[in-house]
Amino acid sequence: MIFTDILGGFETLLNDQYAIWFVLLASFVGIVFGALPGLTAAAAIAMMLPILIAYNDEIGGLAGLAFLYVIGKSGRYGGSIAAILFNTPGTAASAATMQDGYPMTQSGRAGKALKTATISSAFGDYFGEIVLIFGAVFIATFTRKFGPPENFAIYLMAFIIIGSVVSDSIIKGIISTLFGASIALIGEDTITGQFKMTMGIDELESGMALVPLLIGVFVISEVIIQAEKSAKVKMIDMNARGIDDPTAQYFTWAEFKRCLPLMFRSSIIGSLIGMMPGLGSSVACFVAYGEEKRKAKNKDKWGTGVVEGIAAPESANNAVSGPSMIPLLTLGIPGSTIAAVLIGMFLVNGLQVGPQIFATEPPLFMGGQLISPREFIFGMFAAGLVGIACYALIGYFLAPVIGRVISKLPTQYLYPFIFMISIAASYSSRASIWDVGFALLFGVIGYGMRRTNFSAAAFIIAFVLTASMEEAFRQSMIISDNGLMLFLSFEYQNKFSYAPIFLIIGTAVVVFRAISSQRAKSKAGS
Amino acid sequence: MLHENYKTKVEYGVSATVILVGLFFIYQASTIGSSKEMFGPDAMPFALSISTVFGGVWLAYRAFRGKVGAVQAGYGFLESDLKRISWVIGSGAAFILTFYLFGYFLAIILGYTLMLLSFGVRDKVKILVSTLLMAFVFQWLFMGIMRLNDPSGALLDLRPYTNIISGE
Repeated sequence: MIFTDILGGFETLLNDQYAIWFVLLASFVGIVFGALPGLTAAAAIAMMLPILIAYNDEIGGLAGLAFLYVIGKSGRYGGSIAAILFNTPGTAASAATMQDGYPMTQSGRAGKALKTATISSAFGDYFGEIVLIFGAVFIATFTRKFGPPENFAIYLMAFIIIGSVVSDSIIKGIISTLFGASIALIGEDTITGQFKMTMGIDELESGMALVPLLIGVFVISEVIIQAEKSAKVKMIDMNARGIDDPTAQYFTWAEFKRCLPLMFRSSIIGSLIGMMPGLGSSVACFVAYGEEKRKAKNKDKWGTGVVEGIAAPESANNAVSGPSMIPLLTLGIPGSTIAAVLIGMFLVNGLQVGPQIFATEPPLFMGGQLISPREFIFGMFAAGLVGIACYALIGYFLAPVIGRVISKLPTQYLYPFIFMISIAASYSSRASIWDVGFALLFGVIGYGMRRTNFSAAAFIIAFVLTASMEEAFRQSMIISDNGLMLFLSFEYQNKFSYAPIFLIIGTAVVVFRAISSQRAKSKAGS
Repeated sequence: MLHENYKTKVEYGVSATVILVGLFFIYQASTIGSSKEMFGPDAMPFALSISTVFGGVWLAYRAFRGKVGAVQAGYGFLESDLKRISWVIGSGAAFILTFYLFGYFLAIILGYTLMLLSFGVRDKVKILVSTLLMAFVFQWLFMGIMRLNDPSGALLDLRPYTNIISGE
């Protein structure tokens, strides 16, 4: 059944006249954005989202969704180019790659480092995509039975988990979540139609839009930081002379065979971390790097430029990509910022994220074809599988060239250009000048959050989740005879309730995180 | 020790900000009309804003106990360049004001010029050429191709001219 669905997904993708081209374009755009120091896939998505939404009817829903989905993957990979060539991680997910990637570049083996990163990223990404496809379909059959109390408990659990794991400080992570949730409550009440917390501003009656927030916290805050640094990307000579190694620019078959078990183990780590809402690639890359270094026979050489030191974090951080979609597709909870943004794209196409997305009815009319939600979602999976191959091919052959071009880009023109694109994108989301003002405001807030260790990711995820959470809460209260006790009861409307289990899991994660954080502090102190 | 003191001070500032934000949302929640339900439209806003205030108090308590930890790279505002931050925000604010008074086309020109200046570009010819190019491309792309609303400026309506670029 599932293999038929996968083949059907490829058919859906290839029958869409735009989707395949958007996949190819996204592979390239993601690599470039990921490789630009400071800019991430989330920033690229924030700038592209209003344009894709505006053209959604013309290009068909699958093309836009595939574009954003693939940018998330190729952007993660692109970060490794900056880490290896510029000693600056393009994204937080590539921070561990720097430790062995840059020493390899310094010793004239940049080609080998880049090719190792490309192959291990693609390996990890394919692994994660397979976990996503099989895992999501399996879990969705179970979660489809959940009612409002379970949904509210899941949202609350996600809030607690994301808030507690996403930042260095549990309390700051949770405050970031509360802040995002409070902003999301501005606007019209979904049940009574009352206007809430609009501060007397008419433009806020329809709520705060996602795009200005995304642009503010991810793009404008980064532009401010770049303006402060006035930094230029510096790349050392990739073709250093005097290297007596004919394989200096290649990832050899022998090295691949040596790294294969390590890539496999790291992909498992990445996939498991990816399934946890809030824990992203940046955690996975360090866990995999640390674990493989601990196991390695040549651990004293790690950090001086060994291919294993690139293969482990790159497999792990890309293996996060697919499984981070599992909470979204099975529970409606975005596990990452990119997944949070994808909700918007699903909604534009009339699809409510959650387990019902794997249903075969009702059919949707997209890109000139009548397809079921299940076919649509498998079309997205197919786009992911094709996108991985595309970015791997582009990266394998063009990564050094992309790196060279980026190192020559005049940053004093580039970042102002990105700023203006962001401003234009903020305006274009609702054609409102207020949204430009909100983007600027959240740019400053995002800058402050970065400087004081608050989490922008938790803020955005909470913003996206809160409307559904409030709805589930209010619906639960309507059916409850016991008020809030409904969430602690194992039964409602004569059926078993999983709500207390989710609340226990959430509490357990916070307690575990608090204890491990306390232990780490004590260790550092001693 | 000096750095730890600095972090403690910043954390006090952060906790005060969080408490103020929480109080602001409590006030906003109190403006929501009541309903017959036990948990009406104001339930969630109150729960979240009160939790935010508690979060702020917790941060202050942590700072008071000196448990803020070591200063990590990129933390705090010691490396912040207020002048540059003001330039970037000022460019955005100038864009908004110019958009309102003179329309989109001139707003792009002024906004980009100020951004280039804030990034240290001083070559007048390069500023002029790149800014005009940017304004033409943006006008064509966003107002022409994407067909966004291009309102008249409150003081000046340039649309008879800019519509030529947009192709309207």
